[in-house]
Amino acid sequence: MIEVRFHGRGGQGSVVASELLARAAFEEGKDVQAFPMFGVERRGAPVTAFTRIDEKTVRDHSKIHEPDIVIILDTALLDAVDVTEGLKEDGDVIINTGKDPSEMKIDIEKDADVYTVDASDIAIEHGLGSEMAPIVNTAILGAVCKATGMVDIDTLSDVILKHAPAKNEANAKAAEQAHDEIKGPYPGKKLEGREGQLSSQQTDIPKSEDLLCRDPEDHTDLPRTPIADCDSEYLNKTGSWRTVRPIVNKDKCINCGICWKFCPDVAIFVEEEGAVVDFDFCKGCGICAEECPVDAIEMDKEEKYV
Amino acid sequence: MAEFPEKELMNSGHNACPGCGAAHAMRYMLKALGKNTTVNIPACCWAVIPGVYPSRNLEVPLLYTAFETTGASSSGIRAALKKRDDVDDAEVEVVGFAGDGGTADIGIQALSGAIERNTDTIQVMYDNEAYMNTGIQRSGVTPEGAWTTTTPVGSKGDWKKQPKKEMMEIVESHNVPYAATVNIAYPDSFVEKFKKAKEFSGPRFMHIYAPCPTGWRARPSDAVELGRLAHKSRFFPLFEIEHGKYNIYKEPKEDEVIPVKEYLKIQGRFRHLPEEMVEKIQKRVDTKWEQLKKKERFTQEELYE
Ligand SMILES: Cc1ncc(C[n+]2csc(CCOP(=O)(O)OP(=O)(O)O)c2C)c(N)n1
Ligand code: SF4
Ligand code: SF4
Ligand code: SF4
Repeated sequence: MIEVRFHGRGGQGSVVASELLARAAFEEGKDVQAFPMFGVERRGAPVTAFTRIDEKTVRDHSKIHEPDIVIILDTALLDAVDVTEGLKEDGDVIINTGKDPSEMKIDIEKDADVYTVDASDIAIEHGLGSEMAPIVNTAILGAVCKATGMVDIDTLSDVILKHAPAKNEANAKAAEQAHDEIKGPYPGKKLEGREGQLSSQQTDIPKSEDLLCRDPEDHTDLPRTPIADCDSEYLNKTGSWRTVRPIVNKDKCINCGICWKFCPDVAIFVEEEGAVVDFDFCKGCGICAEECPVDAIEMDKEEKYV
Repeated sequence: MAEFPEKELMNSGHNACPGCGAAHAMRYMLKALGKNTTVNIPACCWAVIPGVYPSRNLEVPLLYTAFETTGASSSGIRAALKKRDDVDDAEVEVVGFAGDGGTADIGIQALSGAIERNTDTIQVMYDNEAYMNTGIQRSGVTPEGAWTTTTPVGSKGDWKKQPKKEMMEIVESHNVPYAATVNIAYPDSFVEKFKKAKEFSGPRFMHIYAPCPTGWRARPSDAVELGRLAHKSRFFPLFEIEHGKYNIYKEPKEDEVIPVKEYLKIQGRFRHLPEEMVEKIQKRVDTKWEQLKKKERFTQEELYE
């Protein structure tokens, strides 16, 4: 069995990607599953989705804990989410970035490989999404076909033509282009593709103690009544949702406080030297930039600052 | 005008979408009401926004209740506070905070019951004009012409045909001491009207206009601008009703009024509307505005003294 985990953000199409990959494998006669992890499904929030592919019936219905392949739709997530958590020793990581695989600093075991593809650029070229928010899910799948040999690119193209929610032809073309332009593997130690793995043993069902994310001891200091003691500020760093970030021009700022007043996330404050953004929580909505009376705030791509 | 309070009782690290007007709504409301406030919230976006246990972003007591029970829950909280010796219940504001679906559709009997029984509570409807938490289904308060997932556009069906349910009128007919509409685009008057509501006792109702960039298919950065356009086009008039007397506040001057089209055109949910439909919406807005002006004139007359 091959188990795949997608990391993206709400709005980027990770869930659709997991389904299209499963459909393509199904067309080739495999047994498949595709499912998202239900969390906070908000635009920009990190989203995880999974695909399982096997030649036998897939009986395991649990979450994927030890993926063979991890697909990252947005590099800004590298800082926010432990993307290689549980990745198999000989796993593959496929990242949407313009950089070379050798430049990616990610934590993998010695036999794992990294691939990169500039899916954002390809998506923009094919008119998928906008410059600021390209829709990269189909492009990256083309690269996945090439890197893993799990499904044929022609099968994937057909599936995209039939089942993509919109702009089917452009999406299929983007996948084909990414298939041709993927870089990697790096360091490239593995000799065989993944085809032989499709009928391997199914993974064990994880034990309940593995599923506990935190030591119960950690909870004891927290109140157990509905009388709230506010701790979202320690537990929920929503800065990771951001795809664009506000940059304050301190020379222009007149300390009026309007940005503070209108920030829905209470993430911008006015200090003596001008407005200061709390990047732990700012979600990059852009309201502060829109409302600033002297245009002292500009929104810039988050990627540049990761 | 009242000072804009600095103290935050709604904190960062919450789960609202970027640019969420419902987040503004809670933030400004708690600034106005202060920390001696309890909030009960039914199923809605705000049931998800505070966080998953043990995380929460409100510094006031928060009780989650079933979708249809906001008004009844507020009555229960008030009754419980009255029984407690360790709290001066007159010092506590009991707020029921629900979406438009929770208030105007499934929760309307609980609301009607609570305000008719004269419960000492502020019932709040934060109006994002659809059932957003479950993925943009129409509510009775969704405006005419809007796309939602249950009023789809194109071959599968059509946009919403029915006009927006008028909650202020429904509440007014219960003879409450105070009801007002507020808009997140105007934080100062928002806070001022909530402070005014706090001065009354008995059942009060606040209708908050809370743009939802996700469900309205608009840019998150336009959330505040959407509120402003809704006001300037008279799509969402700001007014209060005090013991039956209407008072329009922050009335846009004649030369500031903009066509409703300006408001509709930056939202994907109205993109499909043909010109005749835009005109029809404009007509309805104009008629509603005339009615409101007449009500104001009529209720300000002596017979209401
Ligand atoms: C009795 C019941 N029916 C349905 C639901 C599912 N549900 C949860 S939130 C929600 C929509 C709430 O819409 P609204 O009150 O407008 O608030 P919003 O999500 O827009 O903020 C629904 C239908 C439920 N929780 N309980
Ligand atoms: S709104 Fe603009 S000028 Fe005012 S404090 Fe914020 S950044 Fe400075
Ligand atoms: S972009 Fe500006 S308004 Fe939006 S969350 Fe960040 S600081 Fe707040
Ligand atoms: S769906 Fe709308 S109301 Fe709900 S959290 Fe998102 S922006 Fe706010």
